[in-house]
Amino acid sequence: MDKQSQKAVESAEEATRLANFLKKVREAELEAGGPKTTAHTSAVGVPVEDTAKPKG
Amino acid sequence: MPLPLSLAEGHNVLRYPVFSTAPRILGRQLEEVRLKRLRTARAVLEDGQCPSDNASQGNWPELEFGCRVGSAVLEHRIKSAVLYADLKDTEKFDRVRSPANALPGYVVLGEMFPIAIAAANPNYLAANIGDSPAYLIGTEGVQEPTARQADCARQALHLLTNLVNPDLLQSMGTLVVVQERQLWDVANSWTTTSLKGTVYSDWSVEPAALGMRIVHEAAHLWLNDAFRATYFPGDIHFPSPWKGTLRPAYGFLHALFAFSLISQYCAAMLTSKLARGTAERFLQATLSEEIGKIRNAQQYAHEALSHIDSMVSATIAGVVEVALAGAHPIT
Repeated sequence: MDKQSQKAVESAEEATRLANFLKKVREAELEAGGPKTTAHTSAVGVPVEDTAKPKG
Repeated sequence: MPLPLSLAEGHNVLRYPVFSTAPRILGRQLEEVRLKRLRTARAVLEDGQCPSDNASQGNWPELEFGCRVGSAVLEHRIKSAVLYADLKDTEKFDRVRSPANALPGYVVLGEMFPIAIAAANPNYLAANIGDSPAYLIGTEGVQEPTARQADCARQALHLLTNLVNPDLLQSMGTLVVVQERQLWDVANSWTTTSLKGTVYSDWSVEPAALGMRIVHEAAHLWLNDAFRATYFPGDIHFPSPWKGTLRPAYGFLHALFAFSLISQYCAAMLTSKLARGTAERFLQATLSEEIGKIRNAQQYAHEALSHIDSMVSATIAGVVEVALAGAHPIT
């Protein structure tokens, strides 16, 4: 196997490794029911909003 | 059975801590949920065939810090690994998955109540997980807390150690402080079920305010675990005085529970004279505002609670009752 072919094989193996990991994570997330967020934006004396989307 | 509680000399003594109504039988179910979470997280990380992993020997340093902290940080490492896998950055992918980097050096542990404390990097645009920004431990999104941030967090945790039934905090393992705010300014705090043990919160120089936000978000984490241990409420809606709209029972009950615990916390702080001056006025104003909304929500609470497990329902009802009763008699 020449160097280029070897590099291609390694690259494919790496891609498979990452893909397997992502698949495992997504399976675990699905089993957990998907993400839910509880967010709280507030100030005393002004309108309070619960479960608003916080600003990143 | 209320837990014993002691405060430093010179403070009034509370008969009941915040969240004194937690049933022990439900606590065991919650422990099973948390243990399953830890095992699932470990299994996910172990599967990636990382050459530097030492998983087969069971050498997971994060476990030394206990289930709460270890589990929360594991979830950050998984989300960080997902981020780097999507970017096809195998070097960073392997780094965040390595047990050697289980607890990054910049994480500070709370002393009275061990929680990993980290700070959001203000120069970093957080990735979104679901619909919430996520600053992930193990990425450039999180950095070492400043001395002021760490001090405020430690003081807030110290307050909670004195005032709150530790059961409420058992679902929380990580606190990520985000933006500094003035005490009376609008501030954000949030949790996501994608990072089940993490609380994100803005902070101010007043530990009493950060303590209040931790109580609020820890309540969400606890209730998420309680729903996970039993079942989620169905798709039925109720008017929410906090949002001013119809909300699903899930969100309605979350708000009722979390704001009732905030009220208990404020009452406990005021009764015990732990807050003075501006902080005292802040907590008094918060208590006054929230009690009014809890009373407003109470008319729908009975029906909403009928859609969930009886133990969880009894817990929420007890928390609401104590909050409305003024919470904390002085001995």
